[in-house]
Formats: sequence, C-alpha cells, structure tokens
Amino acid sequence: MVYDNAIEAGNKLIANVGLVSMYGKKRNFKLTRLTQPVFKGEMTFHLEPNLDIVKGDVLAIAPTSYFFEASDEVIVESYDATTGKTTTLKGLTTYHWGAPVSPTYKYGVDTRAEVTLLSRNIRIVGEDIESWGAQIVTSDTIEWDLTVRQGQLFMDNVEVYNASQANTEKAAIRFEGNTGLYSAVTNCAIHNGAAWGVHIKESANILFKDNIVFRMKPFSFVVSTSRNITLDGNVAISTVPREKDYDKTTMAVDLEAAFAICSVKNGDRCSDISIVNNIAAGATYAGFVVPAHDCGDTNQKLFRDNIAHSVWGKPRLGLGAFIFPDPAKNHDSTCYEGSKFTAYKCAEQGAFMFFKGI
Amino acid sequence: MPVADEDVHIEPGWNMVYDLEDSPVFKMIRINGRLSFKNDSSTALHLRAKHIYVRAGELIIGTKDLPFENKA
Repeated sequence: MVYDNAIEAGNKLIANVGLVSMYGKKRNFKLTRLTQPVFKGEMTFHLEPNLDIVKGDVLAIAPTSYFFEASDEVIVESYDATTGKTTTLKGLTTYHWGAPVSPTYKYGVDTRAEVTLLSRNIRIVGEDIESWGAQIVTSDTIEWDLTVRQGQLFMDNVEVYNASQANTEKAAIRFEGNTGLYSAVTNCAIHNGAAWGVHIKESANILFKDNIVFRMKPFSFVVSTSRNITLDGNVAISTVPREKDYDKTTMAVDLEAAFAICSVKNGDRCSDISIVNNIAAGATYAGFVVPAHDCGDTNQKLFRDNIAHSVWGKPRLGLGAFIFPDPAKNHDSTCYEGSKFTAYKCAEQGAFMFFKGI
Repeated sequence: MPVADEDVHIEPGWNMVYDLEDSPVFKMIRINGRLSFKNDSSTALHLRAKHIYVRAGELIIGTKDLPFENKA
C-alpha cells in the first residue's frame, strides 16, 4: 500500500474507527545476534544458522558501541542456513561486536549486536512530499447522530516504512482516544520514519509485542495518559534526535528516549502499564523514561526485564533508564524504586532516579 | 472502475475483494463495508491512496489463521 503526494491536511492517512486487520507471512525470527565481530566496509558477516532469511531481505544491525547511531541497514545478497554466513550488497558503515557464544555468563546480558529483520510481505509505505508523513490512526468517535464508532487495529508481520510526520507528534502508528476495544500490533517492523514510531495517547487495551522499531525520531514508543497498555519484547534500534528542537516547557520529563512512558507531557497519568522484556539499542539521551514502582513490589510489571545500551546523547546525557515518581500515584511516599533492569554502554548513568518534588 | 483522484466508497453490506497488481492513486477510500485483499493471488497487490477512512467497515489483509502469502 503506497501513499502518494498530497498537500491537504489530513491526507496520507489510514484513519480507523472501524476494523483494520492485517496479517502478513510469519517469519521465524525476530532477533538474532552476530556470531563474529564485523568491521566497517565488510560485506560478509555471520549470524545464527537456520534462520528465515532470503535474498533481498533488509536487516538492521544494532550498535555495540556507545554511539546510538552506529547501526547498519543492509540488503541481504545471500544467507547460508548451514553456517549463518550472510553477504550484503554493500559494506557496513561501522564496526559491530559479535561472538559465537553469548557472554551472559560473564556480564549477565548478551552484548552481541542485535540483528533484526525489517522486511515483511505486507508493506505500508509513506512518502514525505510536502512534509505530510503517513500515519495509521486508530480512534473512537461519536458521529453527528450519536452513533459510537470504536476503532480496532490488528497488525501482525506488517512493515511500516517512511511513515510519521516530521517535527510533530504524529507517529507512524497512533492510537488516540481509543479506549473501547482491544488492539494488538505484533511482529511488525516500523522503520525509517520522519518522527515518532508509536504514540498511544488517551487510549486503553493495547498490546505491542515483538515489534522492531528502527531509526525513528526522537521517540520509538510514547505512551501518554493511557491504561492497560503492554509493551512486551519490542526492540527499538537507533532512536535518533529530530532535526528541529521543540517546546520542552510542556514536557513532564525533558527527555528524548526510545521508550517514553507517561513522561512526554505535563499531567500525564497512566495506569495498568506494563513495559517488559524490551530492548533500547541505541538512543539519544535515554533508553527508557519510565515511572517508578512502589518500593519492595517485587512482582511489579510496570517496568521489568528491559535492557538499554549504546545511549550517548551528546551533547545531552546518556542514560539507560530515567526513572521518575509515578505521577498517577499520590506523593506522600518518598520511596520509589526501579528494578530488574540492565544497561551497558551508556555515556552517563545506567539507571538514573530523580525525585521530582511534585 | 474508479480512476485516479476519485473518491471510492465501499458501501455498507458490500464485500469488495481487491485483486489488482496496481491501482491509480485514489483521493480517498471510504470503507463502510468490507475491503479485503485476495489472498491466493499470484502477483503482488498494490493499492495506492491519499487517504483511507475505515468508518463503519473493515480493511482486511490476510487473517490470523491464513496470513497473507503474497506481497501487498
């Protein structure tokens, strides 16, 4: 599906207050690792064997240095399923670390370069003429005769390319005022857009699971004033700064991030949010900006088992996670906690906790 | 057959199956019925539009049990 150039506001849009359901061909891997280091300029590297990779597939290789943009996007020329040897059409732009065996036994985390698949057989392709980037917007509405419409979106193994509107909050995939029905976006690749990847605003009952978000600006995922939202197993690679600065005076927490949860606007209130098993691989300023959980709550699912690396927001900071008091809770307590989080190669703190006197 | 820059309306109760290799660039596709992509097509299906409004209807490409096999 391809949008063409348009100048009217509101165009380049799938506006959904009904049902959009797209199920693409299943691929057998979401994430693999480099099994050997690879250097700048090389056109051959090694992945795990027996993966569903074919000629023409596009792969994203995450950064393994501090620098958040040190990722690569390559087109596969060949893949040997026996050895994992992969050749590409052009040389890599930077070094990536890999090894045959995960160093988890040594570091507690697999630090080999993440390699993800960006290609899907269903593609939603935007274009950016006139600066109107494509969006998929799901919402609820009440029509003039009081008929209630409730949008529902199911996307599985769909690729969203070159969507979102530059220097705005108009993300490639948006939920806005969508609280009625359950929606799920799974196993999708959202990449190379002009602005935000995903924005869930004033919405409820939404799952994002096992998606790849690559080179979006300056947020891959944003959740604002929503409830019953789950982000599980998503990988955000090289979340890059936007070109134009924005009004930070309205932001609750003044941070760009791969995952910005209830932090983008003053007054954000979220409940029943679950941010689990996600990876922020390359981000400017912070991998995650998330509310803290109650002290001692070892069963919490608000924020657990997430990983951030390669965060260096020069000239800004470089935080794995910025954890702040949950604005949805009362602030009688002075005890806030973040836990079960892993960070490495962050220019500043791996985890930073800030008591904001609210 | 609608042409480029026209509005296309899928009316309530209609069940349209899209099977074109390519389409003109429609100004708007308003879906109040059902628009699905033919799943046993031997060629890639390209639908081009400036605006798709799924109002009281459904836009369907593949299903959970039968994912779309070709390219769209």
